[in-house]
Amino acid sequence: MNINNIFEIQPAQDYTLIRFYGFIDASTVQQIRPVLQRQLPEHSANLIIDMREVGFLDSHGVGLFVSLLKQAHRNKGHMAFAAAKGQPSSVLQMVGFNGGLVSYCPTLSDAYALFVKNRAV
Amino acid sequence: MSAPIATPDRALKTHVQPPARWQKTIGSPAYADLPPLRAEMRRFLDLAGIPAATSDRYCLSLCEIISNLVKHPRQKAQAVAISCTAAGAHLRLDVADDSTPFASFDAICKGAPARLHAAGTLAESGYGLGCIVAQHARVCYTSAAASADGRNHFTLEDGAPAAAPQSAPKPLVFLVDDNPADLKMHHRMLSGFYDVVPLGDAMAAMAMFDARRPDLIISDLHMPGTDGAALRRRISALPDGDTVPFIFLSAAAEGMNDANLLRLGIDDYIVKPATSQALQRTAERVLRRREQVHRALESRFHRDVQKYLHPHLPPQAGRWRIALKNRMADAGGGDFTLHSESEDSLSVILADVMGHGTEAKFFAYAYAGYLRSLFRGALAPERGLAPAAPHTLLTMLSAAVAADDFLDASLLTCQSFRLAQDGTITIASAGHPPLLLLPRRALPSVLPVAGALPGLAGADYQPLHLQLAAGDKIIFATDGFFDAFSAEGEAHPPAALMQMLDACAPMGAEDCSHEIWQRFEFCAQTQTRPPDDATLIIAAYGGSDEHQ
Repeated sequence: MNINNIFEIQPAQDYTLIRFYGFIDASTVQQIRPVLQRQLPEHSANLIIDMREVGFLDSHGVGLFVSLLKQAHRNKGHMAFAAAKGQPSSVLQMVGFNGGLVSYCPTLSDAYALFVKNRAV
Repeated sequence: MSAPIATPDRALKTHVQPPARWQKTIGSPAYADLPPLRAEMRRFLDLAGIPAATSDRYCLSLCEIISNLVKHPRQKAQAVAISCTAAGAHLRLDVADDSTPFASFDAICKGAPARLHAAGTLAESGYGLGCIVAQHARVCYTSAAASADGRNHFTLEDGAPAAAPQSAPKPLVFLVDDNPADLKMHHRMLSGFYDVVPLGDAMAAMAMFDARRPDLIISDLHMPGTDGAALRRRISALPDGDTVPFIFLSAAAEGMNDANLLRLGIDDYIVKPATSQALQRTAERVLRRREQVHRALESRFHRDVQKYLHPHLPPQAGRWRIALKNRMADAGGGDFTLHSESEDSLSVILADVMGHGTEAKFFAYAYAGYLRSLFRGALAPERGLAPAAPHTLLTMLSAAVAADDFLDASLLTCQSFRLAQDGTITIASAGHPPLLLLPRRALPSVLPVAGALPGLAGADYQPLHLQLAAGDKIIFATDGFFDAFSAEGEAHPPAALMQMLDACAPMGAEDCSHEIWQRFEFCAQTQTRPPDDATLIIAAYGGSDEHQ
């Protein structure tokens, strides 16, 4: 399994974009977690989770997002899920990430705007 | 190494007939099995005409079940048999395995057999189980000891079965007697009503008890070697063994009054030769009584859990009037409160555990236990200790969560506050939504109290001190409350809520909470998101109710 086919990280000025691909489940999270922790800049505060290419999400994936949310919060940042649809969107709704801690953005552009707008304010 | 997966096309085309069924057996499961299994089942469900959303739920549940089998059992499964049946609106998934059973699953799942088991570890009930239970109308886990084929079964069902449901399985009765003629005769008397296992001696009964847990044991009292009394003692010493009802059979009527036998806690005593009618009636009465006791215990257990978690606060604490409104979204809840009252203050913790339903309930229960012990240890005014400040409590909680892998995998937001009799409030927050100040003679304002989520290393919680005047109110709430007023993605507190607060300024705590809660319920009805627990606390200082 090539980890680079499962996620990629794109740091930007106001946020760090993490783009996931394919299945974020028990079969991939074990491999993703340590690599992601290593590659994610330590001071990443605002995180955008790009869900456009995610086809399946299970509780292990949710656990991974919990740890990312905690990292964002530790750095006094915020986390936004962008463009989740289908099964992954249903799972995110079901587990109920607290609305005050994360944002659900219909598109990636909305997520960008969220953090750029916050900078402007 | 994952087990080889059969080519889906050929297997499925031959199986999709009404009622459509897909069956799959794999060896020792591995995470790598998940994607192909999921793909195969989805293909089957598509061919069976199952809607995509339902198919998503079943694929997720299958993954969670298999993941649990990979990760948790002490003795891993060597074979897993998956069977999925679709007949009209009725959909059923059964996963059978030969691993060490999950001790607590059958008590957790909806539709579990009405029997109580010793509490298992909470670690067995992580996100995966929460996802499964939340998604299906009926979820049942039957451990190997209780199942007919000696395997653990995880069964999920939705929709009504097309055919009439099968009659309930007969209760399992162990019949133990060293006299072959009596054993045969009694077996014949009972076998029409029960699933009877005839056993020639106590040791055979002990061995069988490990494999299949009976609903009733009927044993001859006098047997060579281990007699009936010794069998009862040995069974009672096993986990849950003393909950299995026990009837003695004996040719000696005087045994009925034997004090030593009565102390064993037997349920009845039948003198041989027993008539068919006496044997059947006694067995039926004992089994019915057992069911009644189990139902009563189960009902009390659920009531106690609900009561323990249901947010509540005293309506008055010195010069503070307090109103609390709460909606428990479903069978459990992620919101809970704890409080401790002393002569000069009321200390409160308001917490919200991420998640819905049973999953949130388990984590809430675990967190509530942690917090309650912290509360008692830290406050304990009866021990003459100074009450811990709200921010100190959160620091202690955070350290406890960080040290516990189980809790650290969950997400909790929490607000700790103390209302003092002189009108001062001390507040600390751990990732919780902001609080709202509602002065009697000024516009409402938002008070964000920064604080890291519990469990982050080095979390340092700073207190916010406020001084309220008579008639001022302060509002604490959880995410579920704010969400009802919010547009998707809108930050808390939502504008719609702030607009109505101004009108509530002159009201007392109770009237204000009533007004806001009515609006909340109206807004909540229009929400498309799954309902979350919601809690609203309004504390009014100086008896503002009298100023209306």
